[in-house]
Amino acid sequence: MDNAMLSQTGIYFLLGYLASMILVGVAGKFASKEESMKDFYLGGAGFGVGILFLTMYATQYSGNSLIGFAGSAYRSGWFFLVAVTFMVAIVGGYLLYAPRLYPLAKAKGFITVGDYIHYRYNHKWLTYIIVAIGIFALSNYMLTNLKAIGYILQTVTGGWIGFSEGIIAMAIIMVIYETLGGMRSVAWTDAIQGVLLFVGVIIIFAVVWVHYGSLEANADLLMQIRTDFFDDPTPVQQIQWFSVLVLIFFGISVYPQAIQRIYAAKDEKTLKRSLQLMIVMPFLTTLPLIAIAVIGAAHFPDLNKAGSEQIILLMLTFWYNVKIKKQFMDINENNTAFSSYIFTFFRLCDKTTSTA
Amino acid sequence: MILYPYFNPKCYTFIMIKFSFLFLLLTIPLLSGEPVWGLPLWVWGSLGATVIYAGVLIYTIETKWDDLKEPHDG
Repeated sequence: MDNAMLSQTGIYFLLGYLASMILVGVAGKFASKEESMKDFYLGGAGFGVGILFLTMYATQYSGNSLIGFAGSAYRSGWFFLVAVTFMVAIVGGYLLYAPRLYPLAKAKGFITVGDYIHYRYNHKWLTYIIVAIGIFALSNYMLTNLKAIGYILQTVTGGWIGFSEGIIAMAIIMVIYETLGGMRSVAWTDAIQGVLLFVGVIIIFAVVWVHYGSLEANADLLMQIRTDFFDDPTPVQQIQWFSVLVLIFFGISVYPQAIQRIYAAKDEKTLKRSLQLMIVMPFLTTLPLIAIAVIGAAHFPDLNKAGSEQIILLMLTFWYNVKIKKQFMDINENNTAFSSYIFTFFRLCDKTTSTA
Repeated sequence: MILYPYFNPKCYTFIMIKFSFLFLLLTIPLLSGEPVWGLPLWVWGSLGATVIYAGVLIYTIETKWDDLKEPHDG
């Protein structure tokens, strides 16, 4: 517990937050309008701009953004800027099918990807195969997020909650509230987490910028210890860049959970506004995360892969322990608000919820 | 008739968006790694192209949404 980012009050906050997730599930159950598949899996297909955008945002920017993206940016440097482009390109991918699929889904009452495939091709085995591929893709997505949950819980509690225990506990809570309230509960928790994620990224970016210095201020340091960050891009890297973009343009835009959210939009205008907002978010979420990781590479060089994936936590822990704790060594309660906020922020990583 | 809908003006937008991923070629890092305001030059180039791509998508959603539908969707 000595290395924990959470104080005892923080632990209570953690428990309260987890309890509130289950309450959201109960609220979702009471808010359901009818006992139907459409109501359970699409939240009645009546999401407005606020909820639809935030649930799309929280789904696309998961624990993988905080752990995986930051780790990749730490290792690859600015080359990982491709993540900003591919996050925008995903919406370009949606445009290939969403304008046509949405009215069709409304008219035919689609709930899952399989419903459309069955309607379009009327072929049982093709539907089974595509659903199986969807489940496989989703499994990878869930694994990365569960891994993120384990890391974060272990780090913020200083090992009091272990990696495996954290994953199991969070998974149970998610199953409870999703079973209770279906997609409605998922979207509500996504909305809370989406706001926290966005605000958290901006705050962490500001903290890092102020306490570790700007990109320009760190450039000299980087040029000494990570010269590779300033190498000219090679033809192999350029080909890799475009390959990644094409793969993600066509791949992530057809994630089953994304298609389900398109079905869940209240109307076309809602869907259009939500997609437009999604285009802006890579510049306000992915880009700051990459900048944080690059600055982190200047201050914490030589981390291995596992260490690099915790670069944001490492930077915050170092800043908190060395710079803040020193100043308030004798005022115990001072770490309460900060640690509580940090947990809430990192709890965002239960984006597996979004796969309901 | 075989070439329909490619001569339907409404379908131009769809064909363009269908191949819009080719626009992503412009974001490829082609410039040098010389530092400019703390970032490699190619980062400014790729980021700029991404911003333009984002703007085009927002404009397309706002004004061309209906063109992206198949004719039978009304």
